[in-house]
Amino acid sequence: MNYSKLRVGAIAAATLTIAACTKDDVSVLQPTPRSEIFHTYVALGNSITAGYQSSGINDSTQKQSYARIVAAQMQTGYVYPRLVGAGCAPPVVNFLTQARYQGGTAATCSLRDPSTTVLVQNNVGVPGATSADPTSNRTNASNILTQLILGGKTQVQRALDAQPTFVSVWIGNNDVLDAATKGVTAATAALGTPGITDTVTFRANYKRMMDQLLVQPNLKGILIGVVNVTAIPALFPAESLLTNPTFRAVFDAATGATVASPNTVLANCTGSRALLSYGIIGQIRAGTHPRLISCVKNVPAAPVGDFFVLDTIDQRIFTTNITRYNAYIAAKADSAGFAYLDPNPLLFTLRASGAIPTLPDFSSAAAPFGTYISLDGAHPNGKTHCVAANAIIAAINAKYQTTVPPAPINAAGFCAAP
Amino acid sequence: MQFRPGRSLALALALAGPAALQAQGFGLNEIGSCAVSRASATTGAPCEDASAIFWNPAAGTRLQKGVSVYGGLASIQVRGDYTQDFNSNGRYYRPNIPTAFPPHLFINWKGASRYAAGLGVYVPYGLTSQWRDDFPGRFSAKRASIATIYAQPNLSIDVTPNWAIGGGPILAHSKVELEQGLDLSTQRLPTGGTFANLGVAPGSEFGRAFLEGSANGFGYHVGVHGKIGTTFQVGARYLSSIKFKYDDADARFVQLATNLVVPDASTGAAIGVPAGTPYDAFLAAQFRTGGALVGQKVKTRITHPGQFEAGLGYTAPTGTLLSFDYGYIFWSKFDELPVTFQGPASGSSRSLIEDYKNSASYRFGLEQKFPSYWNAAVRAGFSIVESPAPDETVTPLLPDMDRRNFAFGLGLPFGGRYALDLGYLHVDTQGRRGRIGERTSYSQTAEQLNTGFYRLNANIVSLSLKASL
Repeated sequence: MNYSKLRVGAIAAATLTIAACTKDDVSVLQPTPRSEIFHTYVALGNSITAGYQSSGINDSTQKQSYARIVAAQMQTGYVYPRLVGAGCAPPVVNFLTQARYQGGTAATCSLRDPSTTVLVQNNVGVPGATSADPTSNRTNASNILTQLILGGKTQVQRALDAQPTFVSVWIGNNDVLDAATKGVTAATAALGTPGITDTVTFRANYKRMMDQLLVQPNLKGILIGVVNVTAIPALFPAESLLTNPTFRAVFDAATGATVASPNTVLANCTGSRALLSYGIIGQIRAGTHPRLISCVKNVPAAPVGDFFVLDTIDQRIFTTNITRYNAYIAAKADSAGFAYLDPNPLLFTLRASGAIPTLPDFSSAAAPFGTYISLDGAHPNGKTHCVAANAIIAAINAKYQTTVPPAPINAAGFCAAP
Repeated sequence: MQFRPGRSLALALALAGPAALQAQGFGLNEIGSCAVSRASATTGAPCEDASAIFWNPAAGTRLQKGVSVYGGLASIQVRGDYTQDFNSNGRYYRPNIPTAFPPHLFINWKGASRYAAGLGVYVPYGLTSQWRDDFPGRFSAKRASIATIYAQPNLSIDVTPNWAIGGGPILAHSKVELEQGLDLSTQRLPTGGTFANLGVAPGSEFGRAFLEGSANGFGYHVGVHGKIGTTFQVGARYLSSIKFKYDDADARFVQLATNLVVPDASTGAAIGVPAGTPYDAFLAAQFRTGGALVGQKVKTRITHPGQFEAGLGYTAPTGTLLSFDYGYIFWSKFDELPVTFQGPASGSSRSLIEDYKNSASYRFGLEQKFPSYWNAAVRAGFSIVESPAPDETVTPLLPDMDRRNFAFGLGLPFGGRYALDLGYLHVDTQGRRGRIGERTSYSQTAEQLNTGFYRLNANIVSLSLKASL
């Protein structure tokens, strides 16, 4: 009897011993972020976030986005909506000829690489997006890239698909940029611009976006303020056309002025501190604006002195609105427990150093707006993305006591390819 | 707007095949509680009950004279999960597979002569895989169910006092049900490419496909069994391959809302709608007469591969029975599945790549009877089962992987003519990387296809009643 009982025990013990030796070996491919808060990072925003440069976007410019650099430094995953072929539209590669990459035109739009159409998309920024666009894909700013990048959803919906643990939001520049480059503050049908977004609307848009984002539990992030667009190199002092003969000569050449058909700059620009938009050059060449530069609105006649010119009152309106925007963004960051970064000190530092020139060089095919701004005079190039990324990283570290290292910058001033 | 159904639809209408065959790939051998208890090491040394008709068709003559009845059912609870790679979404998904209860019934009659005759009705292949609504692999299989019932008349003969042969024909019926999501991102655009080229995210489910079909098949099952002295016994069996032709399967489709909106005029122009149009509005046409996603017939053909199994049994002086079986399944025939649509989706007819390999299993069992305790029996077993699925074919339908089975059980006689057998088997795996999408080319490697990690295990409890009449 005892023998039999022992045998039963041995059988059971042997079976259980073998079973206990079983171990699962989970082999999921995943990076190890520098902090758990960076487990899933998503960047929302506009053209800067998307990587738009030189009036276009393609895989090369997408790779230079600050968001990609930040993700690499966080050691977290990063899938961006890669465009195939020349781009949509292909970026300008020669300022003088306005030739685009691979011979494309402004209407060229290659589609998206479907292999990057995945559920977790870490960059949902869309060129042209305003404060209204993160929560809607049916605004006046919606475009073909809204479709290609978001696939019929909104930025917030696409971001939440990823169940993010960390977001960056850089939205609002397009609430002022279009008006600034067209020299107006209010909606102007003749120029096709909605003007500056009023602060009440901006706040409502921003609040709606944050309310929807914060549905995601335990979300951390950084909000980035609006750039003071009056400081971009596409806007330059009109007075320089009177005081700087070299610059005047280049400007005249760019507008196609001749001895028989010269440009005239009125004396009212002297001491005006008015800013002239680079956009006026194309208008003059096309004959849709007289060859007359005035720094006083509608002098001698509308729209001269109004369109493509920002006088000091206009500039103050922009600055006031942007200041209010940024105060609201900073407050939202504070209430959400997010970090906040004002990008303007960075911009003004680059301007003060000469990296972003006060006057464009319209005779340069490769760097008319200096070495930190792309060929459209408004969008940062890879160098600025690198600097911005490191400023963002510093702000994140300060807020969350993390230790994300800054991206190393190579001798050419670009971040080492992540 | 016109578009051609893409991969999702093709799969939706094709999965009668994978369900059936992969079910066999995950065959759990739950036929008979005694066999379950011994980890199915029961071909060389069959259990002393009528389930021998399945485990060794020659062993009917080894049963006692008269009528032997053996019937019962098993409870199969399959558990598992899938964790996606970080770049796919890094999330963890669990299936919600209902517990299955496959029955078995065997009757064997042995007279005074050297013949025995019987009938076995059993479920050799069965699978229900079912995932929740958020599972990203639901576009391969949201729910799949296969039930294949075999009826096997059997005749066994003692050709010598120690050697017997046996076998019989098999009449088989297979029923398949499938539910699968339809992913807009994989549908083809009229201008070339897919909606993924327009940024439509994977998992944009715009419909569900439901398939139901059945087929009959015929085969045979033969075996041989011998005694070597008083302590050894050997046996082997061969179960033929069986071809099922699902020629009349029904497919139907239901639209689901994506809530996507066409944001701009240029996109709208490309797909023939104005900006602001909800995607669901133009997709609806595909589910109406004239669209691709209307009810239709589909054909596919599947061959269940043959099985060979051989084993050895040794009875020690203490009465302990030790057994070892080697099994081999000819899975290599299962390389592709032809799918032929009979309706508007006929342009999407194709062959799905399965690329299975032949696989082996190694089974060890033991049994100790206790004459002093009403001849009660204690059983245990262990087996190793190689997966036939290559690294490229580990899918939501069946994320098959190498398995180790641990078993034990009891046999409790009562009333002189009856016995109650209880068996438990735990299926353990190490987990395996797998995919949730389709493999469209042999050149695609597992590294390219697999986007996550599957884990799988199962618990089987089997209860059988034995009667000697």
